[in-house]
Amino acid sequence: MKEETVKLIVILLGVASTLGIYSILYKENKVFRFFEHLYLGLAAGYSISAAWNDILRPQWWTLMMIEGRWWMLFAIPAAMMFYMIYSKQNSWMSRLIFGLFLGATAGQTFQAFAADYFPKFRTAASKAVMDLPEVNQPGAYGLTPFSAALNNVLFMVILASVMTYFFFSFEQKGKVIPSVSKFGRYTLMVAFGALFGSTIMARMSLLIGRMYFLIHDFVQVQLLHMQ
Amino acid sequence: MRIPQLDRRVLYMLLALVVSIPLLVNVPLPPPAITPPTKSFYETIETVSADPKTKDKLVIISCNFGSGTLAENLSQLEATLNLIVSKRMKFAIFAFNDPQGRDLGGSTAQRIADKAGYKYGEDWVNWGFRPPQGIQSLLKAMVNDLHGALGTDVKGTKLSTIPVMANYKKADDVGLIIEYAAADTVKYWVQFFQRAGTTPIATLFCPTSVMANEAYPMLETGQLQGMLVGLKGANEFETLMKRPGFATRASASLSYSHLLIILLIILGNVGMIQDRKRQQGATK
Repeated sequence: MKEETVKLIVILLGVASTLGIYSILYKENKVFRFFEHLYLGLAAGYSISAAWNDILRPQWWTLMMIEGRWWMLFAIPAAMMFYMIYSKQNSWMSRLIFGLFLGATAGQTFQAFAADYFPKFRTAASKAVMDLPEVNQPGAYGLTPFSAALNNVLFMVILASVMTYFFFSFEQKGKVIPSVSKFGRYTLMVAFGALFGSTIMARMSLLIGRMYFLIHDFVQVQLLHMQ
Repeated sequence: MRIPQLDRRVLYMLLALVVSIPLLVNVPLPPPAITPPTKSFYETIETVSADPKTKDKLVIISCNFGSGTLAENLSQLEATLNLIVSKRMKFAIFAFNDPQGRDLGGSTAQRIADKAGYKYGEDWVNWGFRPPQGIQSLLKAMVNDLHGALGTDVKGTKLSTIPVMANYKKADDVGLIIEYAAADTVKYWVQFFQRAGTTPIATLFCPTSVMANEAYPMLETGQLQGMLVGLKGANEFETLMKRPGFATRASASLSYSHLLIILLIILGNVGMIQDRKRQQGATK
């Protein structure tokens, strides 16, 4: 089959799938259900194929069967131990392997926490002493010293007020604490608004991608032979 | 007919029209303002490619996205890869969160590399896909032994026999990491790889817009040196490069669709307030 014919078939399948999935916007229908299940099935099959081709075959099967690393066979009983969770009599075996993995993960979590959060703690603490970064350094964003100072003060005020909002160990009485807490709540709402705005932008981008495919790849290039 | 009672399908149709028209006809739009994360992203690549200590080091192109976020992540990948190959930097494609990233990243790299005269195995390599469940252990192993930890490339060839990998054996041989992701997978590089060598590796992030919010603090702490925020970030990057691509073509659709959403939110709220007033009037 010619390469151009294959390309056309692929694009036609893409068009049918896109329109089929978007048909849910009109109403629930069988065409949508078909393409939904087709997508899920394809994704599952694709993942299995990638797991075998990129991981199990080169990293395990080839080494064991061709390069003679016979001890890699022990991966099978180790993997089977996970499934012993379904046997009342032998579930102790699953606890062994789960314990091993949980221990390793717990150790890695300490490293992950330190690498991820310690720089954030340091940066947050340095705001208090007005540690202004130099222009074009990480964290500077090209801000002027005045705007950077204002940014730092805002950061500290918002950090304190949001932490006050989430401090439930005592009853928030009086005038100051509830007001600070309320301000914290408002700043959280602003942050959630920004998050929601970003979500809208992401969803619009997905729609634009599909519309571009329908308009450009299918109509303009395939049907009208435009470039 | 009031907005709150409007059939949602009318709104979908309006949105489809607003998105489609700028793709069909050229709708003028002022050039985008370049935001600091994009500027810093661009400057980091320029700095790494010009610095004698880092210019010959490997660039890891980590493609952790699938077909669901093509419009955002693929446009970011195309825009940035064009700059990487124009600087003649060697790179490796890698995926560990979504197996589709291996193929989407690989085919895009192949297309751009072919145009730039890059040869597979000599100038770039595709490490393929590794499972997300073991990525922490894998990244830790990669710090001291890239060849041993990864084993083979996507074609099943041992990394130790691929010419481009001959000089790249550990984290110290990596000059730049760029993560293209639909999730917060950049944290694994930051946690287990970025600072594990003798000098910290510059790390850049290309998230979908929805994931960008979580990453902003990492820019301020210096854990990330730059970020392209979704399709908007890709558009800014294309503008900086003076090389318009998909993101530039899509920018008008993105802007006008946002205007429509804002207009609908305002109209919806006005309609709701009117309804509330009407109900209050009826109860009195």
